[in-house]
Amino acid sequence: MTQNFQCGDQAALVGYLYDDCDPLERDAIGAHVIGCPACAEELAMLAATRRQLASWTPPEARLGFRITAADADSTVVALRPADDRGARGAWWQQPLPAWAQLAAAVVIFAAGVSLGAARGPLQAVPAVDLTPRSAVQAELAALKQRVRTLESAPATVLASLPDDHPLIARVRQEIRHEVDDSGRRLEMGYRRALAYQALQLANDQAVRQQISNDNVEHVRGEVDSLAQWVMASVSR
Amino acid sequence: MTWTDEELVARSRGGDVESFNQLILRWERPIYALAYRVIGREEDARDVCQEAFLRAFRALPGFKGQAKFSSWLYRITLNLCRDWIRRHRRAPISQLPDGADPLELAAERGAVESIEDLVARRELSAAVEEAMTVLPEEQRTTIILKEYHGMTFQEIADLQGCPLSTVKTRLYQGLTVLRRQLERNGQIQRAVVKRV
Repeated sequence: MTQNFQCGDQAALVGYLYDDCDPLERDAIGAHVIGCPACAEELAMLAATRRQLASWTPPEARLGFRITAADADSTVVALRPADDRGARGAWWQQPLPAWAQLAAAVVIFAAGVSLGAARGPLQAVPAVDLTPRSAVQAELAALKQRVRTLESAPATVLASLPDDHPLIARVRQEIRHEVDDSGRRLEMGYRRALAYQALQLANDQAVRQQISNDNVEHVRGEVDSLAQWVMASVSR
Repeated sequence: MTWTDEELVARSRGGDVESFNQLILRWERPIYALAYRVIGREEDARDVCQEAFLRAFRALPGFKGQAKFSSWLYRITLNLCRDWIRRHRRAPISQLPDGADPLELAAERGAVESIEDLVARRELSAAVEEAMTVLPEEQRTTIILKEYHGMTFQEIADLQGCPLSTVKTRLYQGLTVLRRQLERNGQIQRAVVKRV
């Protein structure tokens, strides 16, 4: 038992930190820490570290081990998670291992090949037409008639309606929209063509201008050289 | 009716397997947590936990109640952990999460904890776990037993077979190293700023 705490006694400070020390020792350390900044700071840092440690939590694990009476009686005791044991059904309900599934597939394939070989090559089976030809033709004719009726139906229906019928108004509106759209599309195309032509004209003009500029320069050069030649001739 | 550990041990020794299963149910989480924190691997910690109960069950006839059942179980677990570390000849490997999925985090967080707080807590947890791997085995085990299992210095001294003063010194040295490690990772500073 230490009632007189010596400054810097780390072991005693740890005891105080965890409150795992004699009450008299705790009082002595508490009294010392109040007047000793170094020990107070040390304690504060240790306490801060402890707070950080509190955040460390192990990951959740599936546990639930159990021992059954059968396990206990056997010489080899095995613990298994309880839910595994509960979920485990009879052997025929368990999934087969991969090698067993592969072996089963090979056996089935081999059995099929052997059976096929034993029966010999397959013979072509003659096709049997179970439907009378006349019945098929009649059905086709009826179908064609129905298609024709459906194709002519809109015109027939519209012709039979009065002018103020909502359906007529709707059709007219659709037609108007369609015409307007077509007009807009045409106008856009026309404008685009005009713009293209204008651009081409501008390009041609620029080219022409460039050519004429070049020509002027060329002529001016010719004149200059001619003038120089004349001057030279005169001076000679 | 809730039986004490001693009563359940007595009934188990009398052949009542269900009583031992109650002991397993009562202690499997702390034992798993101890194994995980000491060796740092989830699957291996689970195996150690299972093996510890298996050994305890087999050794039950020899257990005369000279110590608390929990202390006895802790001793078995720590021996298994020590075997694991010796077998793998290395310090525990910390399984740090690669990245945090915000959806998972959102599902995991509590009602009052924001996602930012949860991410910070997860980061801090990972930092602590990583920092713990730096410690020598004795210091790490001492901190784990004291910090997470609330054992007294005397109980830890009994478990580790060393003087009481050694336990305190290991604890102090371990905490100091951890503090430096966490400071290096910026965790202590961040926590102080957060509190302010």
